[in-house]
Amino acid sequence: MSNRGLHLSALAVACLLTAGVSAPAAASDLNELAAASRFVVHSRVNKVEYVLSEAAGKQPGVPHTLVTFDVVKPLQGSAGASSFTLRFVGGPDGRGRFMRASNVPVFQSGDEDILFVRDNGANGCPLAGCVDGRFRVLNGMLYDGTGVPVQRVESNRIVASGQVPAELGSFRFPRPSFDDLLKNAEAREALSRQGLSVAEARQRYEAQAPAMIEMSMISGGPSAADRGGHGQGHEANARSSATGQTMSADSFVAQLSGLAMARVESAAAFQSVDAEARIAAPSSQPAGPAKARAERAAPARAAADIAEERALPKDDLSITRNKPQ
Amino acid sequence: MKARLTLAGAALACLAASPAFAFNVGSCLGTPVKWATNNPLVRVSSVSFPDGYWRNGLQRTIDLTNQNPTPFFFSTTTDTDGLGLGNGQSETWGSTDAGILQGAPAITYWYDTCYWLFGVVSHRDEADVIFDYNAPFQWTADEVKSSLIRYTGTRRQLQGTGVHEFGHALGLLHVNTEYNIMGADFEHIWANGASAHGYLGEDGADGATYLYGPWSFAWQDLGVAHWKYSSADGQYSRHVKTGVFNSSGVVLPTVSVNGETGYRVSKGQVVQVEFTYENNGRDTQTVNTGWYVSTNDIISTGDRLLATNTGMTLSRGDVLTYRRTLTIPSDLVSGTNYWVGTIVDNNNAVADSIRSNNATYIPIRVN
Repeated sequence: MSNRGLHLSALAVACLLTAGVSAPAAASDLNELAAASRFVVHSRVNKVEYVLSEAAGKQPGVPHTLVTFDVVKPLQGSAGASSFTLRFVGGPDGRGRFMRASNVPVFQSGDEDILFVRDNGANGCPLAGCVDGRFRVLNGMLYDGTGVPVQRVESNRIVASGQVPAELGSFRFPRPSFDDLLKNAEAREALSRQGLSVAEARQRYEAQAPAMIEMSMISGGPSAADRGGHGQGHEANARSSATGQTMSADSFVAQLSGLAMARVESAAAFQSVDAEARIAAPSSQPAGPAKARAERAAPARAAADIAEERALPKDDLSITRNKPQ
Repeated sequence: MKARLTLAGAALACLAASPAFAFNVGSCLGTPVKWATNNPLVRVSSVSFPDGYWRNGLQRTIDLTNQNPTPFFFSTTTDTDGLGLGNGQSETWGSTDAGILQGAPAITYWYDTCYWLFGVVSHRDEADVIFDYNAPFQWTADEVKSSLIRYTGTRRQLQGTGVHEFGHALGLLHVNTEYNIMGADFEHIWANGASAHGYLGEDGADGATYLYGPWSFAWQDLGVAHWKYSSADGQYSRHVKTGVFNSSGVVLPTVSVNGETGYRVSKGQVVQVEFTYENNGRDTQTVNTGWYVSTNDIISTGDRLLATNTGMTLSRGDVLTYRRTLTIPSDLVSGTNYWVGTIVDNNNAVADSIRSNNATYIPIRVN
C-alpha cells in the first residue's frame, strides 16, 4: 500500500459527534420520531454546561451535559416556554478526560437544530431516537444529527448522505482549570517530571494552554488502487459518490406540518430538566442472555455437504490472542 | 459532588474537507486518539456472558477484532469486582437499562484523556461495550447463517455487532463511504457453506494500522464477501449482496434458493458475477483468483473451475468489488440450483493467516 494520504476531515466528524452506536436497522422514520416526541421545535443552543452524576461504588461521577435551547419556532406542540433545558450523557470530567456515549449528540452554543423532544433527559436520552431526533440547520440547509446532509424525505424516511460540512465538524470544550487538572494523577506526574514549581507551571499553563480543547476527526484518504488482474472483468463502482442536493430546513418543516402526529402529547406538562438536581449514577447492573440455542433452526444438510464443509481450511486463532510485540 | 463548567459561545473550527474517505478515527488537538498500550484488557460480565455459548461468542468477537495486521489486541478476563463507567476498567456486559443503552442495540462508552500540559496529552483510557438485552432478545452467537438476519434467520449476530463496537473501543469511528464494519455491521458478513460471521475487514484493518502501526509479524489475510457498498445512511454505510448480471451489466431475474436470493441463468449464457475482494492483512498481494460452479453453497477448490484471473493485486485500503465475466456451462441441469463462487488466492501462494474467508458464493438457478 502506498500513496495513502491522511486528511483532517469533517465527514466522519459526524461519527465523532455521535460515535459508538451500532448501525440502525433502518433510516429514521418521521412518523416514528413524531410519535415518540412531546414536541418538535426549531431551536438555537443558548448555553452548555457540564456536570457530573453521583458516584456509585467504584464508578465515579459520570459526565453529563446540560443544554439550554432558545425556541426559534415551535413546529409541533410546545416547550411551554421560550427556552428549555435538556440533559445528555457525556462530556468533559473537568480533569482532562472526555467521555463519549454512543448515539448521543454533542451540542455547542450557537448550534441551530430542529429537535424531536421526547422528554427532558432525566431518564435517558431526551430526543426521540436520540441522535436521530436531532436535525442540524446550517445556512438554512438541513443535516441529520451527525451532520450528514439530508437530501430528501422519502416515504417519511430521511435520506442523508455525503460530506459533513466543516462547520458541523469538530467540537470544543473549555480546558480544565489548572487546579482541576492537578487533581489528575497523570498530570501531576507530568509536572513533576518537568521539574517546575506549581506556581511556575500554573503561570505557563494559563498563558500557553489553548482556552478550548478541540476534538476532531482524522480520515483515511484514498489508497493505491486494487486491480482485478488478467481476465475478463471490471471493477464495479461500489463507493460513495453521493453529492445530491441538500434539503432546505424550510422544505423539511413544511413536510413536518403534513405529518400525522396524533400521539404528540400536550407540552403543558413539559418541564426542563432541573439543572441543580443531583444526577443518579447510571446503572451498570448486568442482565443475562436469553436461550438463543432454542431458536436455532439450521436446515438439515447432506452428510456429504457436512463432510465437505469440515474439510475447508481452518484458522489458527492462537496468535491473535497474545500477539508477539 | 457536582462539578460545573460553563461553555459560552464556542466557535467551531473550520476544517478543510477531504475529497475521499475511508476509515475514521478521532483526534484530540490534532493528535489521533488511541490506547497507550497495545494490549488493553476487557473484563467480561459472567452474568451477561456465562460460560459456554455466550462466553464463547464474546471471545470469538474479540478474536475477530484482533484479526488485524497490527500489534494491537484485546485480552479478556472475567470481571470480578463490579462493572461501571469511568472506573478505569474496560468492561462488557448486557443491559436492559434504557438510561445506559440510550436506545441503541449496542453502545460503546469511552473515556479519552485530552488536554494540553506543555504539549498535547491524549490517549484512550477506557471503553465499555454494552449490549441491549431487552426483550425481544435480538442476539445470537451462532455462526450458522440460518440464524442471522439478512440470511434466513431473525437474530443479530453478537460477533458482527460486537466487532463494530470493539472497533469503536479500538479507536475507529463510523464510515459511510465504503463497504466496512463501521457501517451497517449486520450487512458486513463473510459466508461460505452454512457458516457466516461478521469481521473487521479491510477498512477496519487499515484504520487499526493507522493508529497502531503494522505488526512485525507478517500477518496476511485476503478475503472475499458476497456483500458490497450500497449507500450512505447518515453516518453509516449500508451494504447489499453482490449479484449476477447479464453481459451488459443488467441484473438478472432473481429466485429464492434456500431462502437466499439466487439468479436465473441460462446454459451457455455470458454473465457477470460480482464479489468484493479484501486485503485485511499487512502487505499488498498479487494473487490468482478462481471462479467456480458448485452443486452446493460450499465453495472449495474441489469445485468446477470456470475461470482464473492471474495478477489480481489487492492492497489494504479500499475494497475491490469486481465483476468477472463467465460463461455458464452448457451441461448444467435445467431447473437445478447451483452456486457460482470465487476463491481468492486459489493456489495458496500467500501465507494467509485466515484462509477460511477466501471463498464465498452466489446462488443461481439454471433455466
